[in-house]
Amino acid sequence: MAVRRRFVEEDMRAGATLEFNALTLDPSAAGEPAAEFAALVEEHLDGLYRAGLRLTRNRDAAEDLVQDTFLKAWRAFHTFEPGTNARAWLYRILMNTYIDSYRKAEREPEIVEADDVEDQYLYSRVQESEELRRQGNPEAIVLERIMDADVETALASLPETFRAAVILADLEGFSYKEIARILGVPIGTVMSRLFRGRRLLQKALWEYARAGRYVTPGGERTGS
Amino acid sequence: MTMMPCEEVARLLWQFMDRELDPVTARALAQHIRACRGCGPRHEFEARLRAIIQEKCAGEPAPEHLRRRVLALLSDI
Ligand SMILES: [Zn+2]
Repeated sequence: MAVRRRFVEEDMRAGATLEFNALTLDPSAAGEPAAEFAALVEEHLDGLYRAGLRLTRNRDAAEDLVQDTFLKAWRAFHTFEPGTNARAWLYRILMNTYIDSYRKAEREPEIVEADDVEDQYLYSRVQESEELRRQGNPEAIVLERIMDADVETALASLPETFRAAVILADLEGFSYKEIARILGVPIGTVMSRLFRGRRLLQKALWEYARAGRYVTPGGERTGS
Repeated sequence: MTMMPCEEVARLLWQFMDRELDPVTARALAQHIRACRGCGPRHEFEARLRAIIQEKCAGEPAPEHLRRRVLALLSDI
């Protein structure tokens, strides 16, 4: 009962959806775990599906992954501590489920980078380009080309270790600490995966901005 | 007051944008970005790039049949 009230209060502060309130305020369902869990489903389904789609790169697999995630979450729901971060808890189950069941026996990423690769790879390339400078405002030109680029394909081309970090940080907005818990790795590992992922994404986008096409790390073209 | 060097700004820029720096360092970096003609545009470029990536990878909501399938789990078990 107390749990449910806290969720409702938090949700109202955040500007709740009517659907959510209707669900939790249903007197017949009051205080029942199923009603609380259903509220979690309503709140996090879209986000988990979006992340699942980015991980699996396939709609059917993403749907199965999300269903399995909620099934595991429901079975473990009695262990969930009310008031703790439900969203991070669900994403942790999503990532574990993905790693256990959906990940293809993919070769571990063997991306060798020079030690002196700078973080803001794309910006540095833009600054160096004489050709862009001749055309006017190099930054604006490149950003405009990236607006037209298939950024989703560029993201999909990253090895999954790095892709997962970029998805969790840049698309889902988790903190380093939350990602460390979700992936079960130290914060230093989160940062190195995330920064490397961003550099790889920027390299792919630079290829596109420069040549109008992608050259993926393995040389193959990726699509979703 | 001594400014944070530009190399340090480039190195810490992503942590700054991720809001992961301690408040003192974040303040020094923000100050530098406002004042420096090299680092200001670098930060602006990174911020706009990230916004584009987020916009273009926003994805799609879960299909209705998935919502029904998931909610059906609750009554099945
Ligand atoms: Zn500077």
